[in-house]
Amino acid sequence: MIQRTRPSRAALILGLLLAGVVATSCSIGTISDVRVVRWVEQTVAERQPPAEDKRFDEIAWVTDIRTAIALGKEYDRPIVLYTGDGRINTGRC
Amino acid sequence: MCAYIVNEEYYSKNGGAPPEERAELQRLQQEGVAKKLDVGMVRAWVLTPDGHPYDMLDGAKVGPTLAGLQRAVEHFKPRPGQPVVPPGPQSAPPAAPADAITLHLVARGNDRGSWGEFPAENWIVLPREDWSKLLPTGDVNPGQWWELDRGVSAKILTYFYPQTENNDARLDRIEKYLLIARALTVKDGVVTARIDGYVMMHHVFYPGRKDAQPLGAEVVGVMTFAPGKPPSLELATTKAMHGQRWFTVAVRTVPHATTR
Repeated sequence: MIQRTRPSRAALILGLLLAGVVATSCSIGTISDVRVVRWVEQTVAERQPPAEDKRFDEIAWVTDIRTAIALGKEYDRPIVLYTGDGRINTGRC
Repeated sequence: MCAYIVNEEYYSKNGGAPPEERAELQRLQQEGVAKKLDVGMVRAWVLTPDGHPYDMLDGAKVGPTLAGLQRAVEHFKPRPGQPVVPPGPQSAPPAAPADAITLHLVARGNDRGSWGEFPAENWIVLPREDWSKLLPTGDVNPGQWWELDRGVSAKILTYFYPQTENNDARLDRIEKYLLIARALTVKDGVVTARIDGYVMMHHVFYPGRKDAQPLGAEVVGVMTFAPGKPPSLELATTKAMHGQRWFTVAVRTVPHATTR
């Protein structure tokens, strides 16, 4: 781990410039030290999935075929089975 | 009764589905073909209570899906009642060692429509040997800066991509990245540091394609820690783009169930 005792914002900005990330503008420095804690807390909170994005969780799911069939037989209920690529429960699908 | 399965767990040699589960899926497919249903990999099946194919829903469209469910209700006439298992969060932190930290990541493209309406989530577990590398050694003073361990940074930044059909988050697709911490305050032994950084990589939208689009994200965050103790970490993108698509990411430390 690299450690320094002096701030090196200039080095970071230079690194970003060299990396080409900031082709049009740069956010480094636009969020001041005074604002950064509040800004990060608020932004992270705002980006959490709202309830309307989580209606999937209102359905009582099981996650394997044999359990679904066992419960279907026990309770005499038909089964809806979704077979999907990726993980529908996390949106990485 | 509702169920979902992850195809990769059933079709991949390294998938986690046991042989009995794989055999059940194979049986359903054979019976579905015999019944002349539109059998495929990504499907919404209706099965009889004893587990035989009855119908195939057009799960991509709301109207036909509801119509198919209604047909099933009229055919089977299930008795109304409570769910047979309790509903609950389907995206939850995995169990992890007590001294690990778990990060919850939420990524979302700014476009909307179909599955793009829903955010993508990842759970990133950093065991003690990982999170300890995020912290500086020795006393920390305001203004002091350090680069976060590159290996651990990559484990987090590799999930900085919007909802895409490809979810291969291999580390070797990352080209350039950096996370730097700078101590803002030290109070009663607790350090609050700001994080600045970025990640650049190429990420493929569709699995198996070779047309990876460039991705760049600028990151700002805050890490709070007492020396030697698990840190609390929050990160947010200030600007992020994949191809021509803007997206946002938020990461925060969350509690997790403990493994034995």
